[in-house]
Amino acid sequence: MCGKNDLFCPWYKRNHAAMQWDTRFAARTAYMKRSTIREILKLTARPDVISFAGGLPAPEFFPVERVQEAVDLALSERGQVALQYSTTEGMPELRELIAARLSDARLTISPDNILITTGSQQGLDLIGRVLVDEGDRVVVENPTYLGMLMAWRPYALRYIPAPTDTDGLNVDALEPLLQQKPKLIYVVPNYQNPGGFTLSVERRERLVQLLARYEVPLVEDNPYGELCFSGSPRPSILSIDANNLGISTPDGHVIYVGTFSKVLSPGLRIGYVVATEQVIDKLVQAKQSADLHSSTLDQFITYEVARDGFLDRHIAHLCEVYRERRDVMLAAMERYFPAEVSWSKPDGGLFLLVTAPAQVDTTELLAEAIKRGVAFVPGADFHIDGGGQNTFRLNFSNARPDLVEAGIQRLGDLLKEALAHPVK
Amino acid sequence: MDWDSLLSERARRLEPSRLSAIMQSRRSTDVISLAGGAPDPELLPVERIRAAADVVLSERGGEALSYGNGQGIAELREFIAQRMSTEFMRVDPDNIIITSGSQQGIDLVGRALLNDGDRVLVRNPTYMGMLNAWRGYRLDWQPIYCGGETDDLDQVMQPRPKLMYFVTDFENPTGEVFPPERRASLVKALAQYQVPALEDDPYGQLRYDGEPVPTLLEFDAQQAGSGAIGGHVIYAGSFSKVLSPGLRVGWLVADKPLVTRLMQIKQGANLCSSIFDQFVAYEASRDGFLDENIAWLRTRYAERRDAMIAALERYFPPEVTFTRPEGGFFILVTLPESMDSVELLKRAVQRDVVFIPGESLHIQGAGSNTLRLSFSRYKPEILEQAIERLAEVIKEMLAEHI
Repeated sequence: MCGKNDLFCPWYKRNHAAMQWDTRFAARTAYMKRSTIREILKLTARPDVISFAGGLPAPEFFPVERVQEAVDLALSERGQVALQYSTTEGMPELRELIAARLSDARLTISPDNILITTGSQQGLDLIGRVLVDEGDRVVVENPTYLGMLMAWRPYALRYIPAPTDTDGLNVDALEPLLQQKPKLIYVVPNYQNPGGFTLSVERRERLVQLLARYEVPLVEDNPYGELCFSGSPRPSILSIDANNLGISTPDGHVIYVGTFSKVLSPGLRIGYVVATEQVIDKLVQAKQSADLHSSTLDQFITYEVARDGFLDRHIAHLCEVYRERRDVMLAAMERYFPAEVSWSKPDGGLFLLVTAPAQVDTTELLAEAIKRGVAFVPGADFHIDGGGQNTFRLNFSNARPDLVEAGIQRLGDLLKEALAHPVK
Repeated sequence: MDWDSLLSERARRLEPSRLSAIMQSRRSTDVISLAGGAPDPELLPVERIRAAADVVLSERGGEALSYGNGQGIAELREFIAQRMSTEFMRVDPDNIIITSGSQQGIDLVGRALLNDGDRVLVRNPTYMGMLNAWRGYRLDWQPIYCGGETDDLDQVMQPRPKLMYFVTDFENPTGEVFPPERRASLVKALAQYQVPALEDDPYGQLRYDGEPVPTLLEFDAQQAGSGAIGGHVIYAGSFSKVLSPGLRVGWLVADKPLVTRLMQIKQGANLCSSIFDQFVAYEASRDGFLDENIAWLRTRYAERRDAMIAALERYFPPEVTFTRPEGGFFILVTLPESMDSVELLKRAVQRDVVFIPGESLHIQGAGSNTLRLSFSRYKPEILEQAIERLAEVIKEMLAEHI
């Protein structure tokens, strides 16, 4: 016989059954699935693959030396603070800096309107926790951002796709959708991921009128707005909405989500949410449970790097090199893509969307593309109306100019073959 | 905009946490806070971390500032896997997910496993951060191991709970250690009843005296007998108490089917934890530094625990009892039944001493005569001063009540 606590008792060992997880998961996990992006990124890790699949800023432009100086400064002058627990809301100096950057002649943002998040992905996660219940209706652009779909998947939302064109969300088509009483609207207004389109100012003005008329909140996700290749950035929906309401504070219908990932470093995971204080308070409570606070050191670094105008100079440089990469890609597409294929021509951001004739299935095309050493993201997953099988997203920011031509040529050949010999 | 009417049901269940109010109150320089579980900033290895950051940025700056694997950087997961592996248990890096502090680990486990109204077994009192993280699920909390070892495991498993949660070493807030017999019988019951347990272990390496006890994770691995982890225990670890809390680097060890789910949830939550901080944590910890640092922290924190215990013995009236932890950061104080620790806090704040009142550490409304003291944050002489002040307030209250 075995003793009660005999760890090596053979009877217990035989009966120490493995955990049957399938019956133990929470119901909300049933809505989750493996991310296509992850699977794709795994495939394209091969060095011979020219990948246009990532959503990545180019690592060769990270201001590593400036970050190094920032770390040295932060740790030598305030090391005991920079490595300690800190408040959930975020570092006061960083919130002040963000408030000042986002304030303009019409809109005054206070640090109390700002919550620092662990990347803007966490901003989306927290907004989901605080504002949506299972089965709520949410209006999104079609196509829309995969990361948002991922964050809000546990809620089994009923998405209402809003049509888009070269000027972004088609506001004229929005009003009938709002009559379905959505819980909120989600928009990426600048250089949209994956569409590459930008919401025109005229449409923004009509959009905020609808927000007021239907009393519906809007999440403005703006990771790319500062990567503006020509002209000056368009005013935020946040600002236009406040203006429409005759107020100069962000106390209207808009919750704004921003990030340093695309303009500084995604590895530091520093994003932010701007909203009316009542919403910020709830987001803070949700964040306390989620991760207490974002990395203190990363907030210190972000602040040190961003201050003194460095960030603006850095962004200007990024815009220059990314514009050049976009131009190289667009020129190669003109040269190598068949005439039946069209694409967006964004004046900023990281992505453009290619539309092939309807008979081309880009998910099927991807397998062959990878064999030939080029990768993209098929568009079907971005489209929540079941369409988009004939579209795919290309990233131009992280593609070295000397490789872009070869990659686009391979893709062009593939598209020509697909059109000449349709599958089935 | 009428935001109140727009809030989700879960958001309505959120409340402003005392944890935040306490963190804010720490800004005042006069208040001695025995409330938080923060290390003394003077014990943070600033120079080592600075050197590590320099190495990381000069050798692999591009990589450290990029997006990375949602599961965590390979170097750090291998480092943790090696540290945790023992004669009886091999932890595979694929069983590990790096989290943004162990708080994120607790959140992710809740989101992966808990439905509204599920039955969850915990000690009472238990860790406040877990209660806050899982509050939204309106759980059916069931206390266990609260009257010594009398609990009949077969009985508490009816109806079958969804999950158990324990801080097995130097429990927050009692400072207690789960005895080996309890761990052994518990992991058998987990397998028999198919109930997972989350073992939250931020303090396990901060043992000041006595013999270490293998983790619940290791007991489960021994039972399973394959050399790998057993799968019934989910383990949450952290660099916060042994390196730096500001870096927000923690980890989960879990059975692979659960790892897959947790990764999906984490991707939606924040894509990946700070890649830079992960590289810095790895670079600072390697080559034996983490062990050196832990050894040094143990002597420092042992002095502080001794100073607080000595002060409690010297200044507190005999009606007040307290735990004597062999490690960790916390002591649980029990006042006479009639005394309310929230009232005590209100008065203590006036004397510039704060702590966590027991009611926020308990389920089922218990513990109003208890409080949690942390000895991690200050030097011995300051701790003594704080306890002396607190004792005065307690004596005043006792005199008024009598």
